Order: sequence, then structure tokens, then C-alpha cells
Amino acid sequence: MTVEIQSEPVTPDEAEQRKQESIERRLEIDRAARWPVGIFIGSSLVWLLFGSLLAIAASIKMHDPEFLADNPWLTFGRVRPAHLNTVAYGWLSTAGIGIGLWILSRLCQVPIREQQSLTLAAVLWNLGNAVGTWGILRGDSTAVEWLEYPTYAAPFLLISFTFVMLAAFRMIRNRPPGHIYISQWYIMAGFVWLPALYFTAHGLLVLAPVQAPAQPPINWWYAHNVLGLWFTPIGLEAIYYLIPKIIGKPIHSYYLSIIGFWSLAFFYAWNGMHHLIGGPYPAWLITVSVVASIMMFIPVITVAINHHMTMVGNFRALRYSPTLRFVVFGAMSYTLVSFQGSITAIREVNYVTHFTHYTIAHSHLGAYAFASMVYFGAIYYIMPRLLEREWPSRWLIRFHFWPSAIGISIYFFILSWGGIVQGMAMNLSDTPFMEIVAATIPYLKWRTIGGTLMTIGHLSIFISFFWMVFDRRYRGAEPTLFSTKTPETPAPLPYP
Amino acid sequence: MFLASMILLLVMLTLSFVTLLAFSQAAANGGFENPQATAESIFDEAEPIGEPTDPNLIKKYDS
Repeated sequence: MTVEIQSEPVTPDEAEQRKQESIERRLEIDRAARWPVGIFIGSSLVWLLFGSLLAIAASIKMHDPEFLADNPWLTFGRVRPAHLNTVAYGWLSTAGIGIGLWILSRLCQVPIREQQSLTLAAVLWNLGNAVGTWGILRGDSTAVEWLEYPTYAAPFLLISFTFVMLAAFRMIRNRPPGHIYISQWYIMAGFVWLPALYFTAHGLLVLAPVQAPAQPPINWWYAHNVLGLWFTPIGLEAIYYLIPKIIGKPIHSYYLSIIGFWSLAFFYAWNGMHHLIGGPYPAWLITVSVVASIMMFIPVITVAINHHMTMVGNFRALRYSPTLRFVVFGAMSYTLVSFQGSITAIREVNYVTHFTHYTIAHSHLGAYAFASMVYFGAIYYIMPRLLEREWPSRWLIRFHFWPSAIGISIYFFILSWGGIVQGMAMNLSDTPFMEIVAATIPYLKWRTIGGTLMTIGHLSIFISFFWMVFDRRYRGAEPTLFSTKTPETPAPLPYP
Repeated sequence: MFLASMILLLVMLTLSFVTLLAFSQAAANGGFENPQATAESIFDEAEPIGEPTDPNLIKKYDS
């Protein structure tokens, strides 16, 4: 079944020598990445769990406003933005940096030399998140959605990300001459886009605020782009790397992947203004954004075709591989959320869904069902290679996947339906507003149930991770399988 | 406000220049030629095409 990629004839001894050299090179790369990438990923899981608890608190408050209402630090106006920022910057961004650095190091075949500066970067990044979250909870929020961290948290993030970018650029510069794989494009783009977005928006909205009417377009330019030009590139680079590597098959069409990347880069930045449909803004501004949103079908279809055609003939692998199951779930969700986003940008649809829970369901489909599930899969793939030991329990991984998958499904479908009911009711001018609020409560209770299930899943990966890291008695010689019908003899690990 | 705008404009121009530079460097170095080879570039002697890297799949596919 194995196909050699070397075209020139080699003797068996030479082939074996090359294989050993390749294994040793990969070991060197993984060992160099162990500390910085491990800290980024480990700390991201702490933020994930903390952010999830904040999410449950905020969700319960939506249908039971008295819950934790006596403590000013835990009022809805603080807990909700604290949740948003801890999962956006503490979980998704922290994990994204770690995953991006590891895959970049593997693809460039360059070991990370900046262990100290990247470890410092990880510490500063977490310090920035801690200071920012503390600031929000104590009442120092900027009140700019997605940018609620107070200004004094920003320098930590800026210095940290500078170290990350320097390391990434060095790896790209020092890579062997030749091909740049599509994942490298996505990683480098994401590493450039995030600081550009964050500090441009922070400058124009917080440090030196522009006049009030100009603030919402900048706010939505940022909020939408942080999903599409940061979480999306990191998620897609992981998918483009992991699916082919896991099943041992190159992506279906490299041309399609290039089209997907450059069309995302060109069209996505224009998308955010569709959140202002119906607002007091020039019609051309909204229309350009609606058109750009529809144009997003191009990158999404190319990515969907590529992922699906790569998987064709290998779907049975989903029964066994934890990483693949998470990543394919995320890839399918990417297609769904992108199609939904384009359709929601159409004015007639937006008139119903705007200002409703439908938008919240949509954002969770992107940030969780797509990005988070792919990141989970990537973590399950990366950590055994970083630590040279396997995950301690397949049951914990299974107990992560199913509650997360069922939880986000409940969350998305029920809240979307509730949002449509809410939007249609709000468009009837003779319906009292409080009646609409009361009608949404059953959907909000289901939202809490979905969120609680997801948090149970997060607890599972949290326990798995720290069990794996700290329990040195367990070396994990056997691979961690989903299926109980495991082979009688352990399969060989890809590292010695 | 004017100073902030100028700084931000400079940042955006720099980023645009870096993007163009990356694109031109990739094109000059043959990054967009032979896409099949680029797709296969993530495989090597230790993890060749046709061999899954998830340990349990190696056994499953061989059986």
C-alpha cells in the first residue's frame, strides 16, 4: 500500500537510512516545540474551562436573571463579555498560536530555536488574558464588543505576538527551498492578520476613538474579521495538514486550495458590514458587504470539495481516529457555517434574523463546531508527538467528543429556531416586546443544556491533558483508539 | 487623531507590501508550479503517501 515519493531508484539500505534521518529530524522538531507549544496548548485548555463556566453563568442568567445577581463581579454585563474574550483570546487564540507554530515548524522542517522567547510569549499572552479578564470582571470593560479587554491588557498581547511573529518568520525564512504548502500560507496570513486587525481596531475604537457614527463599521469590520481572518485560517491550515497526514493521502486538488486561500483573503475583509443592514449607513457600504458575503461561496465550495474528495474512500477511518473525527466534524461545520453566513447576509433573511438569538447560534457554529472542534482534533494529534507518549484514556476522549458534538448541535439548532421565531415576532409591530422575551425562554433553557454538555466535554479534555502531562508512570505504548475492537498487537507508533 | 491615522495608514501599507512581497517571492521560487508536488510535499520517507499516521489506522489499513 505504501507509495514512495522518491522518484530516483534507491537501495533498501539507502531507503532505510533516509527514513531514519526523517524520523530523527521530526523528533528534533517536536522536542524543540515541546515547551512553547505545550504551554500555549495547556494554558488554552485552562481558559476554555474557565470561559465555559462563565458561559454557563451568562446563559442561566438569560432565563433566570436572579442567578448570581448579588455580586457585581458576576452580573450579566460583566460575565458575558468575560466569556466572549476568554474563549476568543484565551482559548481559541492561545490554542491557535500553539497549533500554528507546531504545524509551521513541521512544514518548514525547522526546529523552533526561540524556546525562551516563545515561552516568555506564552507567559505574557496568558498574563494579558488574565489582566484583561480581571479588568472586565471588575468593571473596566471598554464596552466595545470583541474588544472588551481594557487598554492595559493590550501591551502584553502586543509584545507576546511580536515574539510569535518573529519566530514564525524565521521558520519561513530558514525553510529548505521549494514548495510552500497551503497550510503555511494560512498560518502566516493568520499571524499577520490578527495583530493588524486587533491593533487597528483597538487604536481607532479605544485608544483614539473616531467619531461615534464611524465606530460601528470599524467594530463589525474587526469582530467579523477576527472570525474569518484569524480563527478560520488557523482552523483550515490544521484541516489541510491533518486530514492528508492522518489518512496518508494528498489533498484532492492543490489548485482549489490556492483559489480558496486567495479568495478568502480578497473577499472576507469586506463581509462585516452586513451586520449593519438596516442601520444609518450608506447603501453602497452595506451592498458591497452583501456581495462580498455571497462571493464567499467561492472559497467555501473549493474548500468543501477539497476536503470531501480527500476523504472519499476513507470515511471508515472516522470510526477509529479521534483526531480525524474531530477534524472532519469541524470541516463539515465550516461548510455549514459559511453557507449560512452568506445566506444570512441577504437583506430579506437579515430582516428576520437580525438582533435575535439566531446570530448567537451562527457565531457558535463558527467558533465552536468549526474552529474549536478542529483545534481539539489538532491537540489530540500534536500532544502525543510533543510528549512522546499517548493519551491515557480513550474513554475520556470519547466522553469529550459526544457531549461536545451533541451539545453544540442542541445549541445551534434550537437557538437558531428560537431566533427565527423571535425575529418574526419582533417584525410584528403589535406584539408586546415582553411577550416575545417570554416566548424565547424555553429556547434559552435548551441553550444552557447544550452549553453544559459542551462544558462536560471540556472537562474531559482538561483531565486528559493534565493526566497525560503529569502522570509519568503512564508511558502509553499503545495508541489511543476510539474503537474497542483494537488489534491484538499494538500498532507501531510513528516515532521510536 | 491625525497622527493615529497616519500611523495606522503606515501599518496597513507595510502589511500590504509584505503580502505582495510574499506572493512575488513564492511565485519567483516556483511555489505555484507543479501543484501535485506541493500537495505531496508534506509526506516524506518516514510518513509516505499511502501510510496513515494515526497509529490505529496503520494496523486497520494493513489488516
